[in-house]
Amino acid sequence: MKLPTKWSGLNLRIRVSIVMLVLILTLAVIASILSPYSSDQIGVGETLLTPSFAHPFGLDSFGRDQLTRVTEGALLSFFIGFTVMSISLIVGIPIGILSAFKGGLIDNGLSRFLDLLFAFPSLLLALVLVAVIGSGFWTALLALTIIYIPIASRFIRGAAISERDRDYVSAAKVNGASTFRICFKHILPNIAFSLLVLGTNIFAFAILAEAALSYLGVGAKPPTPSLGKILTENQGFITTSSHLVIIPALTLSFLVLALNLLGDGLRDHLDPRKTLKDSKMSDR
Amino acid sequence: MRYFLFRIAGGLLTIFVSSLLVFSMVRLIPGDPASALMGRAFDPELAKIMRARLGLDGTFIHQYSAWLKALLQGDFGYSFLNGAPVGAQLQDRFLRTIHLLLGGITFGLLISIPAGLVAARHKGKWQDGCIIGFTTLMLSIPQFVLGILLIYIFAVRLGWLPAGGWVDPHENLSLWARSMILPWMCVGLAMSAFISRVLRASILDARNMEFTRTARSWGLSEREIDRKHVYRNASLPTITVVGLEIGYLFGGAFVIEKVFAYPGIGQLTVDSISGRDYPMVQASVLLFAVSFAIVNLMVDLIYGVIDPRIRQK
Repeated sequence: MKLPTKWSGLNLRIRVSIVMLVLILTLAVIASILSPYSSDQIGVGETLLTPSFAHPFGLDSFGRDQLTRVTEGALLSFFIGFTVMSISLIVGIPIGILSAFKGGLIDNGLSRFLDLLFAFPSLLLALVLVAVIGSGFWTALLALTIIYIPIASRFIRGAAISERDRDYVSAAKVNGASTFRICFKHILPNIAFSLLVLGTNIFAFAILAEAALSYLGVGAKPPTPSLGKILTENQGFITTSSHLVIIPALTLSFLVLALNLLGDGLRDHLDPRKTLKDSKMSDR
Repeated sequence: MRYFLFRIAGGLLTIFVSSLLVFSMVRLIPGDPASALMGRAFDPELAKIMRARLGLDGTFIHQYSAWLKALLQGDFGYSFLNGAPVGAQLQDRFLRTIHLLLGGITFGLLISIPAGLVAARHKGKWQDGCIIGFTTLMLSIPQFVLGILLIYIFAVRLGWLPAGGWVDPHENLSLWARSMILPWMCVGLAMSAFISRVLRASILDARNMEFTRTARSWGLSEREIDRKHVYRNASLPTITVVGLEIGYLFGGAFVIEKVFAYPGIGQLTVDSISGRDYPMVQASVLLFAVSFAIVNLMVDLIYGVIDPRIRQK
């Protein structure tokens, strides 16, 4: 499957989600550049100020500008999603492809290790890792990466196995290509699109998981404007200043919704047969 | 029979390995937990006693077997924070979390099964569209955000229900039930989205199978085909997903309990992690892992009951 190059060749869900992501990213960047406040600057006005022209999202209980905090929180979420996604793909690709090809020790070790990992709910695992390495933004990020590397590796292994017995691989072997060359010159480009879907999913999961960890108080430490942290800090004011809670909550949902739509859309693009099968059934 | 024994053995093995993992966890923490706990007030004599109490003296195998032996006798050790036995605290908390999850799972199944059936029956019509749209929304809202929104709508705006907390049901049953409605909804709505989608998709898949075509060629009515062949086959992937979702819920319990200020085992675990209360962390994490393994085992066993082909393998 080739990567799509034309805008019109993309399905509706991909287009909608890209617009959503570009919108939120642009708004966040513009707002954080234009904002005269920093996210940890306290007492820029009366505490718990309701939204006004100067402070469109109001001020929180420390008198911090909420717009600045939410936009920086959204950018931070992008950063988290991107970092966890990149590291787990960069590490997962060689592990996954090699274990599909070489089998043996790497393959067995990976499978056993994963069975062990899947014996725990992933949020619990992240909590335990945080307990071991200490809480904080970077350790939460590290814990998420540790969890997603094996998940990515297993997915990539599955994708590589389905390509392993194709004719083009046999042809490359007959031509005397080395395993390394087959893996990275032939297999990798052919599973690139699945990796894109996987990457999008990890991106969304990582954002959610970090928000949950920070919400529980074992992730980002104050005054880091992580969306999860903002929600914990403001939840107590839900009856009096509900905008302080609802706005970051909706921002987080909007971000994850866009990423989920992108993932779904990309998967449909990758496997149009599935949609075809559905439409066939409705004809009956 | 062999299938069932094999699965049960697998489940026990998972529990054993997780106990080993949980046990090594505390040993993985850099530095000496005893001195880390005492901080500046470090005293070599006290540290020695503390290590003994933590079960940190002797070889790893020795420590582990002692811990396991105590565990099997129901002795989970003592909390660092309040000195009380861990087991008694865990029991109350765990029961509350079970109430929370069972109510939520019941609620979730009550809405997701009809939703999946309706969506599959009216595929491509407006009913289907509504259900799919709703599930997409539910899948994208993080569970704790859903909880906050529920509190905002039903407790803050409408004022119909309490925003959370826990009331002793023996003292005031109706207030307990009222304060449980929002947490149950939060658990149920979050899990129902994926389940109803999978149920819909697997019913549609099963309707397209060859055995369905054969049944149709016999002249069976669509209703009879659904009842006898489609639902039974569609139930397999659905049960897998229900099991998976229950597994996720054990993770989700942490955030849901925090959102609704519900004193369950999730909050206890988080508190003990931030308070570095290692005996409590060990015991509660192990309890989570064991419950998770039991759910997975039950899914495997139900699978074997429904589908005789799986038993043969």
